[in-house]
Amino acid sequence: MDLTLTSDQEQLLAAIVDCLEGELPLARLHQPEAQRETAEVARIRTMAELGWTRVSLPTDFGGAGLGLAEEALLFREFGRRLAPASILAIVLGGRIAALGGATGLAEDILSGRRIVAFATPEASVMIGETASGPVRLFSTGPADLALLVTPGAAALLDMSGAPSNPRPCLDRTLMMRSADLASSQVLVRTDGPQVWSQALLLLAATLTGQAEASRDMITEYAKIRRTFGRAIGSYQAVRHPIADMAIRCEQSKCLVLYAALSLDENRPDAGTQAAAARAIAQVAATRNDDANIQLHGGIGVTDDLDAHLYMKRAIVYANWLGGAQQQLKALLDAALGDI
Amino acid sequence: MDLAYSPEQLEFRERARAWLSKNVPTEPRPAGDHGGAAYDREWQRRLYDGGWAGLNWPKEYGGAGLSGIQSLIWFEECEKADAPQYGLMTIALTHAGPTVIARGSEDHKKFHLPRILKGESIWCQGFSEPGAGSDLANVQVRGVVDGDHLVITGQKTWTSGAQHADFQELLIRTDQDSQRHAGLTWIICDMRLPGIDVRPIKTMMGEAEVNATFYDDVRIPLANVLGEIGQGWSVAMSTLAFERGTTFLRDQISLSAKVERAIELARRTRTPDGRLAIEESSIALKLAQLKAEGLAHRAMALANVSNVDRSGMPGPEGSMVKLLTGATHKAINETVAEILGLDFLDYDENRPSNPWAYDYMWGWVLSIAGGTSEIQHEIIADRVLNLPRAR
Repeated sequence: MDLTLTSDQEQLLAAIVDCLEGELPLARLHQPEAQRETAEVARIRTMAELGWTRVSLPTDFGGAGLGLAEEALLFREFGRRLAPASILAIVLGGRIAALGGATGLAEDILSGRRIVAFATPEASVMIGETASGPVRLFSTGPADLALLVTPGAAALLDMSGAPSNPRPCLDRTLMMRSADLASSQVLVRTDGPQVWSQALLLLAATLTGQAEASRDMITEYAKIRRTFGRAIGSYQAVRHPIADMAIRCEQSKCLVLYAALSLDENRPDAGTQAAAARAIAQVAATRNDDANIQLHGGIGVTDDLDAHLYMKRAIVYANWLGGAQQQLKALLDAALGDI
Repeated sequence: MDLAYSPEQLEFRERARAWLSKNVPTEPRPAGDHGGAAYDREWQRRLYDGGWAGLNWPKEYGGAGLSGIQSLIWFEECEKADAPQYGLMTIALTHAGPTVIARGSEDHKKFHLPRILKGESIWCQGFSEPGAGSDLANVQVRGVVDGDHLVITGQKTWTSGAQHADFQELLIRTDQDSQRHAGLTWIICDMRLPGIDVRPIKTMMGEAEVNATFYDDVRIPLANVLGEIGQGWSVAMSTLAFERGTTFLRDQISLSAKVERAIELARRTRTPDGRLAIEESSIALKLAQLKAEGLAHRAMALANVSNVDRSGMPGPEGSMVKLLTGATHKAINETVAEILGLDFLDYDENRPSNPWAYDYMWGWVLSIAGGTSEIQHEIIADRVLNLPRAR
């Protein structure tokens, strides 16, 4: 029993952080929209070349064979740098395809050649031999594939025959469309709660990274911005909310790691831990993104500052994998057993 | 990084569980003044005889020398077995003893440590004063050297358990021209010395466990000073990190169980309109969020003890844990007040009359005693975030 990172994990994390600084600068998200989309799609290919789409995929399927703990560390850094939003659907969709024996499809996805959209139901949806129901699709650039994850099953869908309507999205860094699954084709389906739990975990890790990025942004600003002749970080009205941000990050980080290990070790409470991690991380991201904007003052509401990008992405993610109410209700009924 | 317990840890858990199942007293802690003290001493004696006294004290001083993870396992088993808390032994075990170990002379160690471990001496804390609470460095109680004694005059406050205590950790100003942290001295005060007057203060819970303590020319031998005269601040701070390590571990891991009890309560309590409280979505959502927070607490506790085991020293993250423990404790009991409605009001100034209401008020003890939540915010801002200081 040990919740500290091993030296291998420390090294991996340092390598990821170092690499991401060059690959995913936040300045990229302030480019004009037309150029940005092409560049983001290209970045997904680079991320795939670096092996980041196959971290926890077993070696037999061409993956690195590491654990979800390592993958969660990676996604936390993705969250800090607002990585292209399709990365979650690509990692999980590629894995479903690989484990389901669709080798060619898996390779197309995991190499970043085919983009996968994340499908979020707008009303009740059905997955069987075929799928049906209205969804919103979130992707980095155009995507002809979609991943739909429910608590009991997950499916990779071919959306090329399904008409979709682009919709302007609050978060300008991704593409949002509405579609109906009735004209889609189920390519691979997997039953059971595993993919749902993995998705909750990686989303929680992403949100934790966002919460940390917001904390760091305002911490640095509070050291240099002065009012009434003093750095604003010396005022309790500013430093105490930042301390609260740090607490939320710590809480979220610890639970994400705990949940990742629970899943890696197939513990009976793993699904509950993952759901709890998502609930905690969602609050951490939402509250921290708010505090970051607020404590910046006027500059906080400008388009130039990165602060609003985190806030908008967090609201998008709040709608993934069930809304807050649905999430929390499920958590209430989950048995803890003898942890 | 893994969640699996080693064979040694599993064996340790079995041993703890087996011992607790045979030794946890079946009778509840008596409410009356002296009954409670006797109960706490007796439980400590039993822990000592079983080899469970001074959990994380080094073995060379008679402690059990447990690692952080072992302490966590022990407290988890204590929770499951509903074992007694340390009660009046808390200051001796988690503060005074460790301070004596860190800064006491050989004579201090030889005399005091075995007495604490065996439950023979109850200690209280004499740090806070009416003008020195959060601002502890403002201590004003005077100590004047007279021959081989220090003569003490002044008033301490919030001296919990002073009416039962044998000894007190007393922080005083021995250099009258000094300011702030300089000129303070840490001395062991025998609570039976003439000139000490303990006056109980009734709290909102209806008890009078905390006191104001007055000193009128109390003569304490200089041999009772820990460290040197004038080093009191550094002696007082030497156990602060220790305190943040595992002192609140049991409170922390018990939060998850508290949430489960609150959920249980909501499943069987009816609201005035006849529905079960759990069917009220406002209550259900709060409980679900609290359940997630309870699990986060447990994960943080594990991370904290893992770090302590790895580095040998708790970091300032302990302040985050303390702050959060108080806040979550309050949130749980606020939700319980909503669940119980009018029945929450049935309280007769003692814990057994309504443990939920008592627990609700205990929330302010958690968020004020041992450094208020506001002070913990300052510590986090200073030492975790390195934000600029105004002080």
